[in-house]
Amino acid sequence: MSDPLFWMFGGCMKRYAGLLVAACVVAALCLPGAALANGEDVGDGDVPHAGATSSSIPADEATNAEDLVVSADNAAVYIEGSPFALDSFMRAQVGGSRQIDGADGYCYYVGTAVGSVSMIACSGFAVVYVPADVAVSQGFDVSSQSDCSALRRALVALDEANANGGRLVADDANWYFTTASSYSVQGMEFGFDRELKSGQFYDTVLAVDVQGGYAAPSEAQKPSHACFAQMVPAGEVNIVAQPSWWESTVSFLGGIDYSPLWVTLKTTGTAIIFIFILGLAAAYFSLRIPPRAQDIADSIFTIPMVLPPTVCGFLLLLAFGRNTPVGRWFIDIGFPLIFSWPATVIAAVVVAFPLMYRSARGAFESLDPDMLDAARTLGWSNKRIFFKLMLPLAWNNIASGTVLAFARALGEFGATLFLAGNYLGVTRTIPIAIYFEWMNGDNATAIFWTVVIIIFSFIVILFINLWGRRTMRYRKGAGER
Amino acid sequence: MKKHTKALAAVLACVALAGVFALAGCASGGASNQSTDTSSSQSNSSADSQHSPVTLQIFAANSLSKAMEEEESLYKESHSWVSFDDTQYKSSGELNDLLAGGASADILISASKGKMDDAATAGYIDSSTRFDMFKNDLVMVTSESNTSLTSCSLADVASGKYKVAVGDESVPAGNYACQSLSTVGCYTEPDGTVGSKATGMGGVFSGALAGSGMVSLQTSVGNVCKQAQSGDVDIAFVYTSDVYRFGGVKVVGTVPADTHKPIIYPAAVTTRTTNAQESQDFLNWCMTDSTALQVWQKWGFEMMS
Repeated sequence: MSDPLFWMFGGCMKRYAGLLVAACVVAALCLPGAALANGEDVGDGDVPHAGATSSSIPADEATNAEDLVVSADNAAVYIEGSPFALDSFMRAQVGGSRQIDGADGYCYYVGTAVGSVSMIACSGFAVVYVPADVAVSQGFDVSSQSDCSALRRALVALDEANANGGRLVADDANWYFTTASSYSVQGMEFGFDRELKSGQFYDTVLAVDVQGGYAAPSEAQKPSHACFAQMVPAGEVNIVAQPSWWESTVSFLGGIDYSPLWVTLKTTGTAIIFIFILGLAAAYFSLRIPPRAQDIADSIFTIPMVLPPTVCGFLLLLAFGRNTPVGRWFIDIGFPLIFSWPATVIAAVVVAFPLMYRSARGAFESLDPDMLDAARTLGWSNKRIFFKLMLPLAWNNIASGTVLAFARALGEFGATLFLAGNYLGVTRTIPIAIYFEWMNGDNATAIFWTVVIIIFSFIVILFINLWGRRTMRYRKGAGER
Repeated sequence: MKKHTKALAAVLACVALAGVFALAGCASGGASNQSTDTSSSQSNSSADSQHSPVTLQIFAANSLSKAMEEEESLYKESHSWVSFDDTQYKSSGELNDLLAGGASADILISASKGKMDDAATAGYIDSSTRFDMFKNDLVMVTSESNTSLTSCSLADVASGKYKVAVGDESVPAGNYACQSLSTVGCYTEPDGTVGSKATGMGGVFSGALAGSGMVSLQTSVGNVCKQAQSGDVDIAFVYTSDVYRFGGVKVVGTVPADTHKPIIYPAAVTTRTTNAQESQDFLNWCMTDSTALQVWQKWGFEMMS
């Protein structure tokens, strides 16, 4: 098959120019006949089919982008100096196998209407189909070298913009253009806009064997992809301008789903209240029980800090899931403690509680017992001693414990993921969002959330430190008097 | 005295705020990731156009992430009473684990027959609704910016030149990759079978991949693709469709289809659903609607005819 390929190489064009011009004249004369041809006709394999020309433009000219404007949404392209343009571009990355004409053919789904320009990209060549009526109405002349070249450059530009990592078609040297709905080249037959099912149109690819019968295309013959577009007048094409730096930033920020921020605020805000109260209560009561019991209680309360967060989450899932009566009861009453927002609060409280507990207990233990006894001799109740004496005296340590617990609850990831899952708007907190976006390839959003959480944490900790400093100043001032 | 009152007021305000948040969170959290049960009894198809709102929860294989999102928004345009809870795109094995842990779902789409069989055995899906949705192909990819690597085959991987990333046992893409690697001696099944007869689970990496650091196991096919995109590994075994949805990777070789089991995506309606008819309607729409078929084709999923 090297001779026909040799014919089409650009370097040979000059030598066979005269022959090519003659072929074009013949094609132009046969064009009306081809337009009226029945879609089921099979042309001869090697003779240029009536209505088809081949472009011998070298590949590098095809990527000349000076007079080519591609829309920012990658769906349309405008060619300077050309009466037609392309719109509604779609790239079909994969086709399907289907029984066509008695053989296992390969086909691409076009849609429920005819009239699209199709390009099927195979290895080493591409076939472009322009419906005859569309060619006439848009002024596209399939025998004109410049028209074909313009269409080729437009398709190459859009194909590259929509490739998404798939194979590009620009390097193929041989492009065949046709307005007939059936075209044969390189031992294969291409059918266009064929109604294989009622109301559904497909482009089909079949291999033609030596006897002229149909066969399934081999792996090497299978097309890599197909593209479809609408040919529209140049003045009517819808080109979206490339956004400026500011516009893309604004659209990026506008396109982010901010629910992780609200979920994190709700979760951490609720969790820190529970942590604060439970931590203080646990610290206070653990000092009033016998020493042996104190050690055991201390170990139990500190375990969640020592266990890996994923283990904590797993244990909570076992405890509150379908495996236990408690879990089943909660699920049945419609308030599940797993894979729901309360689960995020539970996970945050369980992992951050030990920090609060230990800080508060250390603070209470370091209080001067004489002062507490003196208050008791004055007749103060335990409750009054706690709220009016112990808390204010230990406030610094308690505040730092709160900061630690807050930071831990804010950054909780493993236990939340296990117990609450990753449901957008319900349980996706910022740390989970960062991981999820990064792992799905959306680096920009991941970095955005990282910056948000850094700023947020910084502000909160700064506020708590400043508030603590005010208390210190008051106490220092009181001490100096 | 005044200072204490201020402090007390501040604490009360915080508690009130937290209470409001908690109530709001409970209200939205309790309802939104459960299918609405009150409306399901009225959502049968009927001649009149009045439909009660329905929320569907889909558990779909990780590789379907971008394609299924587009399908869902397309479906909502023509079926305005249907909305979708946050669709979970995880590895098929992880989806089964979620169902085991007590999560609720209406539709399950797995990436392998084996994982769907596991779901059927455990009673999560209604086997009468099960059918095959897509086919896919396994390819070897590398980072787009990796100019030194342009083509690769299983034999190249077996020679130990490249670090590879594959899915772990819960990821069907990992199972298929291990089946293919067993044909070149890089993965050894417990019973020694190779290729499409192997399961791709329960074995060990052998030959050139046995060395430490040669294989990176990931929990979903998207994570596997990420390893290649970020350059952490040279070669990743992913589906063809992942190249298009992920971006930043390029195909350097196709894994021969006869070295692994056929890649089929079965879909089914779950047993815990309260919207069985709406779920079935959505699945039928995905297989027959014209715009739906165009979207699957755009993202690289070959329909089962």
